[in-house]
Amino acid sequence: MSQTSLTKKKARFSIGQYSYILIFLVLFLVYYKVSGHLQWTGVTNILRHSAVVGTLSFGMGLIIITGDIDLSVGAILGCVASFGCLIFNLTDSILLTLLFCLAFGTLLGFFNGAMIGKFKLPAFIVTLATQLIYRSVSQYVCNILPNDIKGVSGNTFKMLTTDSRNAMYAFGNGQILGLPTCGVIFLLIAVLLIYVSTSTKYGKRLYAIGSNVKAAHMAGINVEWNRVSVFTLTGLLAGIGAFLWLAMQGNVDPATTGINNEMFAIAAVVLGGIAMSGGKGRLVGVIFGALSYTVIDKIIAAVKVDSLINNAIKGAILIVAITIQVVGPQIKRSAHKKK
Amino acid sequence: MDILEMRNIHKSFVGVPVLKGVELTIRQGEVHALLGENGAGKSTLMNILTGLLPLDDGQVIFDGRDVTGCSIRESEEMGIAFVHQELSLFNDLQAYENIFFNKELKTKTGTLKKREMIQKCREVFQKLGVDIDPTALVQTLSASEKQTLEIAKAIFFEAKLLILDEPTTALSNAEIDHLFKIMENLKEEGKSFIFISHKMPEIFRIADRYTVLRNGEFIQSGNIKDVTAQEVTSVMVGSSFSNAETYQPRKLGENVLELSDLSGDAFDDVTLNVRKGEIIGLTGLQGAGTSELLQCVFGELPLRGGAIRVFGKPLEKNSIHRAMKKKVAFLPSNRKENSVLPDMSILENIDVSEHTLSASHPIIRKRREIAKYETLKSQLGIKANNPGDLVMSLSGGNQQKVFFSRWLNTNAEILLLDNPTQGIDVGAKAEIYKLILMLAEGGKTILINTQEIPEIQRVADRCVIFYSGKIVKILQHDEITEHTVMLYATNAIEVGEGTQS
Repeated sequence: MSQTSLTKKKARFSIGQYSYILIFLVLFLVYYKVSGHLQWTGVTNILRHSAVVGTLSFGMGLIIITGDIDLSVGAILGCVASFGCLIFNLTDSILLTLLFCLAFGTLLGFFNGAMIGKFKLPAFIVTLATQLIYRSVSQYVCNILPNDIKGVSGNTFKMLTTDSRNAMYAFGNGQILGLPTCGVIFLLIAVLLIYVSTSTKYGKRLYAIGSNVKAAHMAGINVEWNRVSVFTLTGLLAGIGAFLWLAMQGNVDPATTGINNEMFAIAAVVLGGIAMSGGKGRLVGVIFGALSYTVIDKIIAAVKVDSLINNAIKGAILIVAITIQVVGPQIKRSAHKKK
Repeated sequence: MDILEMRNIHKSFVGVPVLKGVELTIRQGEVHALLGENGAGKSTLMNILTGLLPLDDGQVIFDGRDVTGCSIRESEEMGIAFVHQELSLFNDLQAYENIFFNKELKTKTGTLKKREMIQKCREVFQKLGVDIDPTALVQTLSASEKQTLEIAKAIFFEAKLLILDEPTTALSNAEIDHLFKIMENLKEEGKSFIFISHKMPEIFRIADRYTVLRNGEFIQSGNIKDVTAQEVTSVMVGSSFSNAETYQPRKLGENVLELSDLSGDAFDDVTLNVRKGEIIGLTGLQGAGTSELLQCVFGELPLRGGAIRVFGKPLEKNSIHRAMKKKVAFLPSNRKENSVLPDMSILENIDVSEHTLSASHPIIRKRREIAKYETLKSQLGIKANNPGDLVMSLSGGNQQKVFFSRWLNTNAEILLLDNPTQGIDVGAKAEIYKLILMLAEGGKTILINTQEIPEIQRVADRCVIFYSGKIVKILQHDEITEHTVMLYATNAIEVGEGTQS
């Protein structure tokens, strides 16, 4: 009785569950203040700049719900974008580039998933290793390729300037109904995955695995394949992110594109109220988590501090946000107790 | 003189009342049994007393002072000590270090007065008649020694009221005698005890008075010598305890589960045919292989030899999913570890298995699920407010009903139940038996693994007794007695015959 009474909480509405909206609004207001004359494009730009990391964050969110972690998403993004750029320069086809990005991302994610799900290796170690592998391979290949295929001299890739490239660039930087296209794509993915996580049997299985893997197994869930699937799905999302990156930027640096993005994704997930221990939290928070992170970038740019201090500020804000989420309920409880 | 008076205590958790005007009066120098089923509110009441939980309404008077809403520390200092069900000792520290933990005797420079502490510790142990070396590592102590160590700790800091929460669960009979002797001695000195237990013989041995709670309400209190165990039990469980013997012979169908020469990790050459609608009780000593047999049929443990046929068709390649498709279900033992999805709602906990079978329709149709839930809820009598509540908000018995529902929801026909009444109180147990009989009546085939023979007596058509991985005897319903089953389970019969010949 003592355990059950202490955990007699309800899976229903409470303010604490939605603190991510509050955090986002506070950050947005700060941005609004410091930017002086914020215009509509400034607001929509937040969405645009959140697109790539946001897409990665949704994969990360699903993985964290199952109680695992993926440290390789940033490397997958860099690797897929590098080879995607190469494919574009070889074929001059947007469609082939898109298909390649999706397929290659899926493959890299599947490799992670097979190691973790099928061979039961720890996710932290496997994705730490593949992070090194994926990034190193793309850097190496970039280094040995001739300049005319890379599209530029030096250790980066650049899409060759053709009609297709211009079309893709126009797509990546265009707008739909006044909103940036890439941001809209991110939102569509977000809505789709939120639906999957809340209203499909697959989504519930992921929560079940994160909540109690033994019980999930005994209830008939194929834990192995669901793990493989969630890492594969995350690879696919990183592939989409890579294509969006190419369309928006037109060039890739295998050494820096996507670097630290796994950390930003984890931060966005945690800011969004998903528990690192798995089984708890909702993907809808990840949208706000990802947007919050972009706003922090914008604030730093607006106040014109040295961009090198950027990550320190992000780290500090993450600590503050998590403190609010973790300590807030405790304060509430002790206040209640004193009454 | 009353040492403690709790008056009209009210407490709710997120709007759900768990204590509704509870009264508890403890006299100085008595052992007071606090009785009630799991979920009756005993632990909540004790947590309020020790300051772990705030109360919503009511008054607490301890030792003549109003101490309503005191903190954990204040209650400790006043002399209320909680000896927990799960002991709260540090295994890697020595006995005396545990006693003095956080209250160490120090010199002026802050170093520890070890010798003095060990000496004082020894004195208390002697006084209590405990034979523990104060410098022994706690992990080397037995369960009963740990228990007495906790009591010694409370006595050392002059506790006036000790709360013992199911103190005898891990103890042997001799150790229980010893514990009771210690309690008697302390009682002479004027210490008072609140004794929480489900075991009637112990309560009638040690307790002076009792208080019964049911569903968060005060039911009655009085002198133990004025009542009988039967009376107390019926007061505890209320109306639900009327079905004494509900077993009735049923008409059985054709063979639905055939095990032939089945061998696995902990059992060998098991041949057993089970008919539709039959209830089989599997029993044996710890490690006799009965639980492993059920797990193997469900595909959780590997099959080493032999064959399983379900509804006349072989169950090739054992895997959980294949077994489920053949309408086999398994309710594992150790609910918390193997069944509960703690972060998920009641509804989600029920639906999870059916969803793996119906995965080709990936989208959840919430309204239909809730309709199915309502049917199961009324069929099984699950006491829950809202299907969206966390499954952890339910009591043990209701949680177990949720997991029954999980499998009934898959339309399973063969239910393998591994120790289904583990950690469930008397009243809920009776309901589970009733449920098992009702399911068999409806044509479900049920195999129960348990070491509680009265349980088998109440429900089983046949009792299959294992010894060391092999079937030694199959008893018909009328032949099942505790005595016979134990004879075969301990293999006493074979030994007896062997010495005769």
